[in-house]
Amino acid sequence: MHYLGKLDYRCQHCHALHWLSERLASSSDCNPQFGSCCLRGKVSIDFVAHLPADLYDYFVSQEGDPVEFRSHIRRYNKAFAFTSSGGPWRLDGTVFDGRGPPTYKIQGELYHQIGPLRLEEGRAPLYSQLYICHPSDALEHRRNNNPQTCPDTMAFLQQCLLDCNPFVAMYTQADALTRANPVPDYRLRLDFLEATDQRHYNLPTTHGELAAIIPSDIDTCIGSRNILIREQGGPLLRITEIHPSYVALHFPLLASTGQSVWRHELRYTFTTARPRGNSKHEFISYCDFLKHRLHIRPFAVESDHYFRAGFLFQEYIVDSWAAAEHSRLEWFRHNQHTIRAELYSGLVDALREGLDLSTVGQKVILPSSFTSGPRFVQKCLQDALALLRIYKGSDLFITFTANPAWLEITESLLPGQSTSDRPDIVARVFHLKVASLLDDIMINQAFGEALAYVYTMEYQKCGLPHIHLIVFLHPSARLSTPERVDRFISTEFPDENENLDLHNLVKTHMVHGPCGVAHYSPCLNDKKECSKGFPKPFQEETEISGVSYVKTRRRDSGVSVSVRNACLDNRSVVSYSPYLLQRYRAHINVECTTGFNAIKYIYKVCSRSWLSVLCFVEGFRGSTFTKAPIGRR
Amino acid sequence: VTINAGSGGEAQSRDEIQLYLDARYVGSVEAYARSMGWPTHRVHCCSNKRVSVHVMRLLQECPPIKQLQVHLENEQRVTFRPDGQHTLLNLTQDTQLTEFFKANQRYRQARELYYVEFPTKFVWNTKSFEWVPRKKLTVFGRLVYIPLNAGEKFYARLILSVAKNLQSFEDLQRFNGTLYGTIREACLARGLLEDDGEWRQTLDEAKRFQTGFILRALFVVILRDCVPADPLALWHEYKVFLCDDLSRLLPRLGFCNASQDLVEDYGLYLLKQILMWGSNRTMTDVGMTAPTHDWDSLLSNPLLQDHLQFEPEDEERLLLETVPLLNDDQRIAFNHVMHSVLSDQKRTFLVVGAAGAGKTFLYKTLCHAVRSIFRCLGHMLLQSGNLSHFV
Repeated sequence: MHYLGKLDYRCQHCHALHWLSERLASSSDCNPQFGSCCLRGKVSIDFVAHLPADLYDYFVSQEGDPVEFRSHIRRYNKAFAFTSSGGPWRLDGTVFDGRGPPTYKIQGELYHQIGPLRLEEGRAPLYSQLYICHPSDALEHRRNNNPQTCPDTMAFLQQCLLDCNPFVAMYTQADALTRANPVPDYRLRLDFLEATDQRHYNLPTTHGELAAIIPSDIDTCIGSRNILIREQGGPLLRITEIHPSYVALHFPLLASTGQSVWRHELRYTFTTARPRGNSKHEFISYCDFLKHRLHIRPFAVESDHYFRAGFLFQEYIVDSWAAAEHSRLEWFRHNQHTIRAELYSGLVDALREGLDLSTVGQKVILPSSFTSGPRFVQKCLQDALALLRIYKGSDLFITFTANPAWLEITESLLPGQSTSDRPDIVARVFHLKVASLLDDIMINQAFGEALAYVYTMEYQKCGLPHIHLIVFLHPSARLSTPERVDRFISTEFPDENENLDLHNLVKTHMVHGPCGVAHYSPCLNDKKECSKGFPKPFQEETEISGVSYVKTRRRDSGVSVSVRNACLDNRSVVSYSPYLLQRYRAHINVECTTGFNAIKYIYKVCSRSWLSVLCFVEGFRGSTFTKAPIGRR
Repeated sequence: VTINAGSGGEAQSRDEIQLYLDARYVGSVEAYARSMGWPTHRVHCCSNKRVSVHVMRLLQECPPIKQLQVHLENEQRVTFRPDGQHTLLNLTQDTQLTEFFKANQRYRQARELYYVEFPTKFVWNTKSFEWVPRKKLTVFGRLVYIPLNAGEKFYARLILSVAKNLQSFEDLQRFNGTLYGTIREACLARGLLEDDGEWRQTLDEAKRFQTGFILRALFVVILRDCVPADPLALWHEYKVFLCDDLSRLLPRLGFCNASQDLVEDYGLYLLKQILMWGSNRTMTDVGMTAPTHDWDSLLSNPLLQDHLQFEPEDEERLLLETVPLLNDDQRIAFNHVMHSVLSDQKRTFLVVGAAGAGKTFLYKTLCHAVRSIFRCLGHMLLQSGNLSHFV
């Protein structure tokens, strides 16, 4: 059995907790060094400040109001947020699809927006406007807007934020100032004092932020890094994702003291004498900042309330990533010259024909260096096809899905948490298991000598990650005879008396269905038949036909096992490798492929993540049908 | 959920970033994994037997599959200095392909290799831009993907994947000692391409029962997606059928007695329109000739076209017919106006009368007169039925 050990190794530099196998390959077991949290000390930023004890109690306590608070934490956060989120395609927040843990997902573009400082006549205050109301009025409004919240909790949270959140202070200050000295038409600018020296371990003062009130006629010279709030009226303002307060304004319950935010002027610290890389990377990137933030550390070092926030933590991760990706995409949009967009034909051809340029429209190119973009995947696909040409066929097609019940995951959860509260743990454990699986195949030669592999990581299944892996074996190790196939791959229930453990594992992980007319299952097609072809016919001997997948042995042994309230036999077993199943104790489907037809199917899977699938979604307004790209599936 | 109507007849501007964003779908685990920078896709092969674990980890970082550039002569990438110096094109810049030709001249063992096999025995030196014989490790090559409809570039790739010992761009067009005009012809000579028999068959079948409109759409599909070997020959063979409705359509657009050449040219223009609309490609991209007339501006103002269509002789005849029919008042008015027009006085007249008094008849007569005298000027002054009435 594969076991990673406990999450109890500390990074020497930032004290983040790690599994031993996360260490850098260049460091030793007795002196492990870790790169994923802080790049060996290069990223040294403020730790998350501890919350006031009574507020922290709401993140920890296992009884009373705090439990209710945590299960609806997104609702509470929304009640106190300064900004609302929007996006042209956004399907709202939580998606519960089918079985499995609920996950927070976004679709399409995502951004945050903020309204004007004062509300218009006759309209109820919303979001940030609530903070300049009288506290009791604000509380009343918040309760009305969110009727399902607990009044005591609301009152307590509001008091907490009024006491410690710097943006609240800023808002009230700005309000008081403009009331005292009326300026005709102004913008309110949320800003950070550039002068404050906020290097590591220097706790910044809570009032490092500043509200500047500037007249509206210098509208034109504002940089993109500012948030300018109108006094009244006008549309909602989109907040740039690189603003330091981006997160703090949207997650007041997480960043309640308004601190430890990313700023573009944060610098790397070089602890080693020889700074690695070129001096171009002087400032800490948003991604490196996120890496630092998203590693849990002992409570003594850093407050762990981010990791206790459940759904809000999920939303925080997704939101931060969307912001990071957005700023990267914006770079590509504004640097089309650098990536030589005009070289990708289109424009050049139009010029040659003497057409009016404005009618043609310039293409915006997302180059293949953008990870997981369409051109990137196209490049991967072409490389994979080249491998296919070189090795003249692939051998194994492995699908490996994360198992939320892995010991490493359940051990590492904080008290009272479920798997869905900690996507970070799931992702990290799965990442390590995949690395170990690849080592087993490539170095330890679980299937004989392996030459190459291709994989695609996918996440859509209830948010649980899974990997599609194609392995190319050495000609001498090819599974070319039925005996060799049977040695590595099975599609039968093992004998209960011989190997009870394996029998139970197959029962839990490797049985398809039950599906059919009597049992609803996502695999059913329009005709109520299983799209995967289960239950499959019995097969006396393994057969290699040369056109598609190998038909592995499914003998009619009379064994039938009760799985999920149905009696199933060998016909419903998904093909598996006994060795890998016992070692990784999760759904690992191992198919043996021969011939070219099977390969075509496999590469369809490999390349499908960039094919955006068009789904038809029935609109909510009466009978109108609307059409939207739903996602890369 | 909102509706994004397809950009229909609008100019097609592709924004890949927006497309990517619209199709994005991120869950929390994925967001975490992506923030950590873990790869979502990986192609890895360990081409050398028995490499140490350390080398394997090294190789994981750089998959040993080398993309090989394919381009046409003088179409390689050219680098400009951002400071504006050396703005002259430096066309001698070496690429993997040009250096491949040079290596074939220089090394005997290179002549035994296809372009795609080249990286197994040679290393691309990124500093000096040349291929150097390889000493250790094997790297596999692959030619960059070029779609079928890319024209000559596609054929260049085809030749590169089947021919050895190519020493210059000219060699791409040479086969058995004969130099062909284009790479495509060389491909045909090598037997790599089929002739257009199937497309002739398709068009033969369709021309029997389909209208010109449908046939043109079919022809564009063949041009765009099927890449016929000789599109121009196909056009000349079937242009009569492709344009069979146009000789009736053109007079309606204001082109009376259009010659066959004009009809065919208009046919080409329509093909170009369909091609642009569907795939944003030009006629030369698909190996056709562009229309010779500037149909865009010719057709841009149908009203103008309409009024330009008059025969001065007809107008004169009509004038002679109508003038005797004018009554006394009308004749006085007619003489006044014509006197003003002929002596270039630029006066303005107001004709008042009860309904049915014959004002319009007067206008028409004036119109005929002006048109027959000034030929192409008449429509500027008076247009039949388009006058403002004062009642």
